Amino acid sequence: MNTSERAVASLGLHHVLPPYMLEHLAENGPERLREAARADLAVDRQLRSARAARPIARYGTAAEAADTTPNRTVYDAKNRRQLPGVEVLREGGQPVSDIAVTEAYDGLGATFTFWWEVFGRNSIDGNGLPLDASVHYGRDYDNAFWDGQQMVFGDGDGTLFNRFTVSLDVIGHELAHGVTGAVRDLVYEGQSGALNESMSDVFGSLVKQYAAHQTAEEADWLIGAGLLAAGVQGTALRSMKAPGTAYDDPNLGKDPQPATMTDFVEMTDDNGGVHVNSGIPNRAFYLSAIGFGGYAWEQAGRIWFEALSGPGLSTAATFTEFAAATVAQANTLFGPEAGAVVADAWGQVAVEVVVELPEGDDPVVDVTQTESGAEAGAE
Amino acid sequence: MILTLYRSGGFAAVAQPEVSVDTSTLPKDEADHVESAVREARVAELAGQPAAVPGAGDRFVYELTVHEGNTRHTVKVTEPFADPALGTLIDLLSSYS
Repeated sequence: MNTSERAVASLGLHHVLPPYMLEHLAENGPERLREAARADLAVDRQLRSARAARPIARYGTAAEAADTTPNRTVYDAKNRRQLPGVEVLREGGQPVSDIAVTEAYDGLGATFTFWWEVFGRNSIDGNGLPLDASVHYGRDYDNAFWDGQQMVFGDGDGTLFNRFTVSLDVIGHELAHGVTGAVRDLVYEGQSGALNESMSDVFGSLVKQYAAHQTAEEADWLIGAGLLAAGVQGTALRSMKAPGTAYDDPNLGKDPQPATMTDFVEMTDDNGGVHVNSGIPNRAFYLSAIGFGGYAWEQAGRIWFEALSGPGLSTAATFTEFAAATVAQANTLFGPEAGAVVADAWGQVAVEVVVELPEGDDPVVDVTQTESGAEAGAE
Repeated sequence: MILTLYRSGGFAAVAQPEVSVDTSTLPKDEADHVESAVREARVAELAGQPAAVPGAGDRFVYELTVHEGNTRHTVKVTEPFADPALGTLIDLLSSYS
């Protein structure tokens, strides 16, 4: 079989190196290693695809995978709720005057660039999947979403919300739902759903920071800055740095996000509060990034992505399980000091971290102010 | 016919206050229009809970209740809708908010 022949010729590095490093090696490494790294990548991809539930609509073809530039198409839904709508801009096409189309196109481009340059990931599926987005969905529509196949953006009602293409991090957020769906489809309910949401905020924010060339200290850590309409009292929709403080407005209400596990919110709406409790892991990411300093995608971002895509994480992961995965990845990728930074970040948001020693000894429990609420979020 | 619509979820996760429409209080033409939109969306035939769609995020969830005589039917639907008539009904009910 072709696969096993290639595996024999490989270095076995897929057990050790994350795929972005293998991709780098395959592209830029010493000549004698390049082919072996490519073979490793092929094995790595097969292992990953076998492990993860992969519910996205389709995967890039061989030709799409070979092309490492974005393949974007933007549609105009013409204020209806039918997808995708009328095609208005295809990759490399002439610019159009519609600002929502331009923002969607440019935002998809910046998001593609981020995933390719930082993680060596070719689009959502790692295989060059074309990126489709529809703008002007619905009438006065206050939302942007990922339907499992494409991105969808509303115009906002103009009173509470502006158009949803206005913030690059919102576009990065939606595309990250596609990536999460492809690598580890965290169940969109309760704690795993809040982790799914947090991944989108994390990588949406990193897309913005990467494009602006900002360090963790320079970044605003806001999600949806510019999205609130003029007159609304607030700076953004969410704050990863200070969850619960993004807005407080008579019409919109108050930002409901908790900053620590102590204030975990039990609710049935919003799939069990997936956009509410995401504040807790969001802040753990922010604290890790600040703990490392410098560009957040270099250490904290890599740790989070490897924890998401690593083989041990369940699609129904709790905060505690994900925290342990990030600490383990930090230790593996950057050493014990990095592990301590990440463990401290989770401790500050009162999420219990259980770390298994590599030798397989008894787990060591870090008793950092674990609240009774820590168990509360499981469905 | 009494209809209620409650929207939650979405990227912003700001719930829309519940909208309630009692067609017996509307002018006849308008009441007919709303009731025909309910029939066209075939709300009575929809299952109470949608099947989970994996790999999606940020979609609005609409809880729709149709109360007519002795029958009361509540469904939860998640965008996007396969049947455009459902979107038309939700837009129509939202216009009463």
